[in-house]
Amino acid sequence: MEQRNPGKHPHPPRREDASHMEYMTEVRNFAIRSWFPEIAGEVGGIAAQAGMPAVIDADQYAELAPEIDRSPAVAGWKRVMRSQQQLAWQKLQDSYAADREFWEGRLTEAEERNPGRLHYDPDFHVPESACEDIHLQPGGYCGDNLAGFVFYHGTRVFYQGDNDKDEIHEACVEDMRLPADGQVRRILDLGCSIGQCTTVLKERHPQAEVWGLDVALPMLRYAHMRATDMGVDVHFQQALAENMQHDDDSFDAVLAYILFHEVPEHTFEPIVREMLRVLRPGGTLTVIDTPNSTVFPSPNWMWKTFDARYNCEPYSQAFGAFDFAALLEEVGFEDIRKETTNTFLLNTLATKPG
Amino acid sequence: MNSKHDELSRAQVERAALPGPGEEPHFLPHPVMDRLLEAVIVLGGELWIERDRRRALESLLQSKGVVTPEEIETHSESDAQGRQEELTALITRLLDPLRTMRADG
Repeated sequence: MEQRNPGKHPHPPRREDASHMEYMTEVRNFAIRSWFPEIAGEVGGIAAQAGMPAVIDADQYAELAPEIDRSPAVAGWKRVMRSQQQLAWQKLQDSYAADREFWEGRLTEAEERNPGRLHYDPDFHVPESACEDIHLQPGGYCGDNLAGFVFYHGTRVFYQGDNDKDEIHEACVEDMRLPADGQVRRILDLGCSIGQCTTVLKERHPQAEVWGLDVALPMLRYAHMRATDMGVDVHFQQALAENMQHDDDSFDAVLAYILFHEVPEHTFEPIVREMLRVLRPGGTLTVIDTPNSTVFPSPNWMWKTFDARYNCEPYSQAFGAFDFAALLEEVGFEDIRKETTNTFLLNTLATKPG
Repeated sequence: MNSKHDELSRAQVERAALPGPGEEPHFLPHPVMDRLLEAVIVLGGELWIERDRRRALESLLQSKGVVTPEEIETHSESDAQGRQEELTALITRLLDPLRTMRADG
């Protein structure tokens, strides 16, 4: 067997975990690449029969939803998508928990080997909204010291084999807007999770001081261990995105990759104001996240509503319906531009007035 | 800005109604069907784990000269594409009955 070794992350605990993840990746590939196009055809057909246009809003989808949910194909697809996710997480978590002392020791050893690069307050209060079992990961990002290990392998299933060497994170960094004057001394990766963009940023901008900030300490500890193992000198900090504890005008560029669809709507504006505050005049913001629109094709609505409720993305609908570019303008950013990507995500770029 | 929100339930927009703790939703007409389908996915995973390990074992046996290629006539561990196709075919066999399911059964 080709042991999957991206070179930037540890192997899963046992060979059978690697086999199981490989299997679950293929199940997901089947459900998304082979099965969903047929589901989309059926859902689109139901919408057309009801006289709906090609793209519809939330209320129109709500009218269609009961009939769509009666489709055996849609029901089976949802079952497979949810069960695949649950089973993948559970097996990983069980495997890591079986040798908990060893894996926690790896985190601690990295902190002793590379001190001063992981910043957190033991009394930090994690808000309830950050404690969801996001994507059905048991305990979510904050509920288990080993969440970072489990998250990495679990998201390899999500990325369907396309991100084994952080290729997607490299593309995100490539797509960032940078200051027009070319000065990049400090960069912030906001909502850095396990630090995949953070290390890519440092590799791309070796002269810069790079910070990864997240609310979830288990993810940050994994990120720190991983960066230490890679020999990449970056900082990781536990903080709220709306209260970063950095000076005004102290960053040249901020990246927020798939952060906003996982936080409650009432935090959007405080976070955007905080990003504006820490950016220096002429500093740049890149937000890469799910598209903001009030209308989508009916199959997209089916998937989006499924994800929100049954894949534990409880805040994603709010971000999807939100006019994020308008908020950026209202708060004071300028030169705001939306760029589509070759993934399902949307890049929103903005600059702090000079 | 964001006028659509005014037309939707604030609670629904702010946080989706998730299944309660320990509550597992069923999507198919009867909860047993959901459980059976999950069992099929589990079974497929167990099958693949065993198959993958057997492949590794056969490979090791051969590399150590314990068995010959004639004794494992189909062994071709270097054939990554074939191996991948085998896994894809397994999943297709398991899930095709669902893929081809239609409203009329």
